[in-house]
Amino acid sequence: MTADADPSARDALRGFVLELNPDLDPERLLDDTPLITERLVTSRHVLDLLLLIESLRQAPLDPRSLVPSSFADINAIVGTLLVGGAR
Amino acid sequence: MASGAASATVGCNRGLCTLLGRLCVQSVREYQPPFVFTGWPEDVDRCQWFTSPELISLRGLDIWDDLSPEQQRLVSFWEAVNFFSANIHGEAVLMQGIVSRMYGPDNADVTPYLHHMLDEENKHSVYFARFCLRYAGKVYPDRMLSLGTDPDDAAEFLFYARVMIFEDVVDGFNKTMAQDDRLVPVARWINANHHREERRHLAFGRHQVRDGFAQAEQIWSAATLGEVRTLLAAYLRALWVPLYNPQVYADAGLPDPYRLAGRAYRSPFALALRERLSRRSVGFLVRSGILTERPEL
Repeated sequence: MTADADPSARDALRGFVLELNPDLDPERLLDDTPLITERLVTSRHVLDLLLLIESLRQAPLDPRSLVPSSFADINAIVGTLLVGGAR
Repeated sequence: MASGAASATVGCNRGLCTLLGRLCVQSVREYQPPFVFTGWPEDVDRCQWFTSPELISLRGLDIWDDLSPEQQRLVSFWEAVNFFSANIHGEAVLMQGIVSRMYGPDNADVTPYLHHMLDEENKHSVYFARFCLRYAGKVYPDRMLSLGTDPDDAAEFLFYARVMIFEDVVDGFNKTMAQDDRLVPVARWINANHHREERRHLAFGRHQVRDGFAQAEQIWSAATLGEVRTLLAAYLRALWVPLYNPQVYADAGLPDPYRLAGRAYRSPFALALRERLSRRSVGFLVRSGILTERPEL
């Protein structure tokens, strides 16, 4: 899929982060809000994040092609994992 | 030293020297060439038990109970392929780490044993890969994800700590399945063989972790120590991720595999299994002061 052609991918990622962080003001969650360094997504959520990304792209990820910055923010996830990024 | 053994060198502390000498002798005594095992059937009926049903990731979910016995056994086949695939990827990281440490000035004492460990890990991968390729026609891709990076001055310690955790958890699976006579002989043999050799690797790993922490603790800042603890807790969770693999459920013909993987991971049964099979390594890390509390799995 191409996430830019399907804005629901960004919405799904936003929904995932907001569900993990119910106290976070949705207005403050931007596409460049740091997810890892702000600890909005932690190792506790790795499997759910992986499954969400794979279900959005309808294909498995190859973790060998990933670096920690691949998950830095919603833009990074969309850019590297959903739009012609890591296979 | 036994003939042909790579011997431990002089100069290491007495405890390490004794351990390395014993492990080298055992490795030589139990040496087996990897290509002579004759227990590989040309093909297998996939509707047999290849994974102990108590270890299946879907156990405890209603969908598992609703499957026919044949479907349950088919899931057990793909779970075995996945478990062996996860081992192949874990051992690849381990072998790369071993090779990069051989002959280093700080590793002269352990290099002779690293030769044995590398040999044994390679043989395990030969067996895992032969099963996957011969009976499933593939190895599942790696699914281990990391969200962090290691501090430079903790990389050595973290390598041995992760190896110890990985081998310890995997050994819990191996030990159960080595004794399970419901399993087809080749699956049971692979688990039994792995369990037998991993005991030595675990003894070595625990020594390296305990010794490495005692030295590093004097050097690390409080921030580094905190980061190490966070990374180890993360690894204790991450190593389970590959064992809830949607590709397994898809290959077994089950619907909605991504959702199923999430449900399986969150089930109380799965959490209890993770806690049970992680207990030994977590207990070691807490007793050694490396972790201050049991991480949420």
